[in-house]
Amino acid sequence: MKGTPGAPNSISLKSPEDELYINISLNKKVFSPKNNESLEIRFSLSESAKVTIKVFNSDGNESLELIKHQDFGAGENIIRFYGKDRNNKILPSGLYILYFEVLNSETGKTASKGVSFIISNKLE
Amino acid sequence: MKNLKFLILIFILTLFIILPLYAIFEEREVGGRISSLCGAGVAFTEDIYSPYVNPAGLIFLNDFSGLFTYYSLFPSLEGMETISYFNLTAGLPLKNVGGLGFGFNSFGYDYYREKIFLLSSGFQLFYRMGLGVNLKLYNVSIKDLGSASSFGIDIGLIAKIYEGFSIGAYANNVNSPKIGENEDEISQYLTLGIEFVPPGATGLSLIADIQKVVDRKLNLKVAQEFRILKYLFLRSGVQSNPTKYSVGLGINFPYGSFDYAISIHNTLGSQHIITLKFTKGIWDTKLIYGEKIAVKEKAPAVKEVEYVGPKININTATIDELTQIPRVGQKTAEKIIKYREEHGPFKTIEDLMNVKGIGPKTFAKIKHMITVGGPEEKKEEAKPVEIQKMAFDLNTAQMNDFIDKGIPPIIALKIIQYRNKQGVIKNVEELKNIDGMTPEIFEKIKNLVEGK
Repeated sequence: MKGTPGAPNSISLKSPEDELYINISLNKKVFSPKNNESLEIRFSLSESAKVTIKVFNSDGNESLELIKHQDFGAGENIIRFYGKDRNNKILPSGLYILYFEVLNSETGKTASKGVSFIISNKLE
Repeated sequence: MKNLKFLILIFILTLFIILPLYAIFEEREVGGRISSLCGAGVAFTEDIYSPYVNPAGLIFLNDFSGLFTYYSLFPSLEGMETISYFNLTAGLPLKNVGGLGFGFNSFGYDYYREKIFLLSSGFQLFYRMGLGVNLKLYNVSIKDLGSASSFGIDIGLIAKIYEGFSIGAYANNVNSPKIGENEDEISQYLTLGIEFVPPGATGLSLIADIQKVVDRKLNLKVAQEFRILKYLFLRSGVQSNPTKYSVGLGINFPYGSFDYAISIHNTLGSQHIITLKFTKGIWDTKLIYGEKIAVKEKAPAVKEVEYVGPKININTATIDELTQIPRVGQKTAEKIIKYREEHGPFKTIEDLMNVKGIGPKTFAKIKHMITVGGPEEKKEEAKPVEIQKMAFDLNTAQMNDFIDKGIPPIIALKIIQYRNKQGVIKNVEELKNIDGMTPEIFEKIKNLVEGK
């Protein structure tokens, strides 16, 4: 089910174009919401799909659901994350996982991907 | 006494519950055994995992032990960098006091690293009940931001109510440590749990823990551990928040074990946790399926029992035989054997007190059941060097041989009885002390022996 973006798939006979895939890039790995910094999340989709983005801490606990089943078009999309939970409270410092789940409801194709980021403030 | 125990337990638990709790330095998968039980095990006794689940469990640590654990964070999730965890841990039992543990944990990757230096201790409060304290030095370093340190204290409590039923409580970071310039709070949680062996199901442990991390829902963990063979443990567990399932196995071998767990997260996929454990004690003391409960207890006072079995020869006994002697454990048995190898056989049973760990009190309790070996064993060693050359062999002569040489039958009989008792007559001079012996008869025997 998982695509291999940018790399030719040697096992499957399908070309990469047939797979639903998502590419994620962050403007930084570490950001400090307390200092009004935010995380710029760029993701590109191979086709339009419903996107769900969740934030997990490193223990696997879900901290929040950033986006739920929202439609995004093919190509690059940008969203901004301010490091706050649903109650507008800044998340505790630590290592987090940004988790993406995309679904094309017409074809039923899905893909998921994760990337780590760190919430922190100056340490010393 | 029993009521007092429960009062202390309830008091400390109440204290735990009213403490404010919050999150960084999340709970990690600390090792193959614990992770295959979804992290449950706060009531575990006799394991080097204690520093991570409940330091109070160290009071049951039997032997010097060590641990190495490794896993990588959700490696099956596409896009994830390799973020890995490892710990190195050692534990040391302290006789009649408790136990000590030392640990180093590291978690992270290029951008982020958490380190924990851990000093763990367990103290015996009452028989089979202990208090544990962890002192932890936290350090976190983040790329381009530098590093910061903090200090945390954990408190644990454990009680083995009876063989096959233990309860435990563990509060992590009770001192509410903060870290960094912005004083971020380090995660705090409280865990209560039990370990229970159902009657008639030896080898099977049922484990249940309830964990509370502040600002989060209760996390309920239920697990089972089944020792189906001396070499093999099968384990599984489930937890509610976050939902995780785990299975694992433990392969025991002499002086250690390999523990593996696969922990499955609903969304993020699986993690593989591997642990290598070593222990100075040869085998895990947990009961095997079908084994009868007849566990040796470390009771503070040993009831004196009249010993009627055969005496144990401390010069020839194996470790297994030596440990049958009350108050002699694996370690003391090893010391006895070492002493024997270094100093030669024990000449008297009193020499046993030269072995470290056996004092006059212990000796007084065990002297009636040990021996340094009867004459049979001594005969072979002594004969070649010490036995007098005899023209008339006192050691082979029969009743009529004595009578033929004019020795009175009653004396001949006494000599033979003496010989049977001693095993061998080394020198004719020994016969002087025989009951009824006169100087004349002795002179006669002496002349015969010397061939005069």
